[in-house]
Amino acid sequence: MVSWSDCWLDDQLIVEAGSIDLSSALSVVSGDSGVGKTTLLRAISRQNPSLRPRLVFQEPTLLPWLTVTDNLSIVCEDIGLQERWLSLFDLSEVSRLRPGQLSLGMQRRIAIVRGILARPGLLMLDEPSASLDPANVERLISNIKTAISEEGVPTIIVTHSPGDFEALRPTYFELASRPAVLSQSKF
Amino acid sequence: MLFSGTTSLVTLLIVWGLSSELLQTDIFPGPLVVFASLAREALSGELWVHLSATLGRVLAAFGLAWIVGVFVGVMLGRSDALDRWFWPWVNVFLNMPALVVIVICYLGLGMTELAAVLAVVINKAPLIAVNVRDGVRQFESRYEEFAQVYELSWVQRLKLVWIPQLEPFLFTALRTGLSLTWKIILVVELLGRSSGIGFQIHLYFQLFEVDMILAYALSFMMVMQLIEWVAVRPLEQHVQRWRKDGQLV
Repeated sequence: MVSWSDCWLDDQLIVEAGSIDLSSALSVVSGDSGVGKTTLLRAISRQNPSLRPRLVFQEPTLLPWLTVTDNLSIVCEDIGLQERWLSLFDLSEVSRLRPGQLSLGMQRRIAIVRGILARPGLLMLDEPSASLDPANVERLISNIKTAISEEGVPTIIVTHSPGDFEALRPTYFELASRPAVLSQSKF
Repeated sequence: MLFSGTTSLVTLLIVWGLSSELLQTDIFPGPLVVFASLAREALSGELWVHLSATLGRVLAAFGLAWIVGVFVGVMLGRSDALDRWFWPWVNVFLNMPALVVIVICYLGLGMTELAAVLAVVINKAPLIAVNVRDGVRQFESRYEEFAQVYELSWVQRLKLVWIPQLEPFLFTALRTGLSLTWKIILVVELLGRSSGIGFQIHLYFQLFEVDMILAYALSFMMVMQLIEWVAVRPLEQHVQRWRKDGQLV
């Protein structure tokens, strides 16, 4: 179970306190743009340090001055492990390139690899399928499936396209109204 | 190729030479006369004595100004409270005339090497601090958030996140700082030292030998250009090569 208290921005309540049962391997939280999905992930990340939450940001935060390998080495120096995950994600050939030399889809997938290599107790992905074409979304879904089956780490995805993740059979939640309240939903 | 840097410099020399020929005056010698004087001073060994004295002062003063400026710049960039309190101080020092600082340092510490270097540090550190402060203030929040979420150590943050973002500002501070430092050093030497390019310029000013004044000034301009070509530019190109990623070439 992961919980959070009320999330305020200045004097405005954005997301009400709540919790998510992590017994399901994958939870997908949907909601309209601007409802507070990213705020929720940040709150979970800040308020549950004992879980070792690792947030994979919507805008990939790979450091552009480092190669892919160097970016991964920030969180895990085990080159063998890096190579294994890059291979599982079909990214072995880009290990010596820098983020600016890669597509957005590749950068997102490498950011997920970095999240996994950081040995998280909870992996959170912020809008991982946003701005990706269907082929890249398909590749991404396949990679997330691999990550969940190989690592078994509870994963929360926030998205405004919950249908993208139907194949992964997640537990669905919806974040709605103002201030936003999280409730279980059906897709 | 017609407009390459070398062609441009050669053109400048030709314009200089033709102007000198046209004017036919002692206060504007042509490049051949100046280079001949320069060669004479180099062969006698006199040039190297004064060149190394000035270069030593420039490196010492700029090195210290760099350390102080970077430290102050980082502090002001990271802390709004410190910035509110100390920014007016930096502005005061930034706008203080170099000549005033030099005179005060000589009066306070005597005509010593320490006073000479300190005057330049006081004068130049604020400029470096301003550059670094601006750079720190432009750090991308997403990298800060990444560093926080992934619990990067302070050493990792410094080495992997902050310094790379600060590099363009450090190089700007390096270029402008170095070029201004040596010009102030000349004034410092002119006013109170017995060696260095500034001292020699003062000497030949009294002797009214303009070709020697230009020869000594030219020698240090060439040294600074050499530092730019051999050290600063290659280093900058190396550390900032990632900025060209994704650009069409």
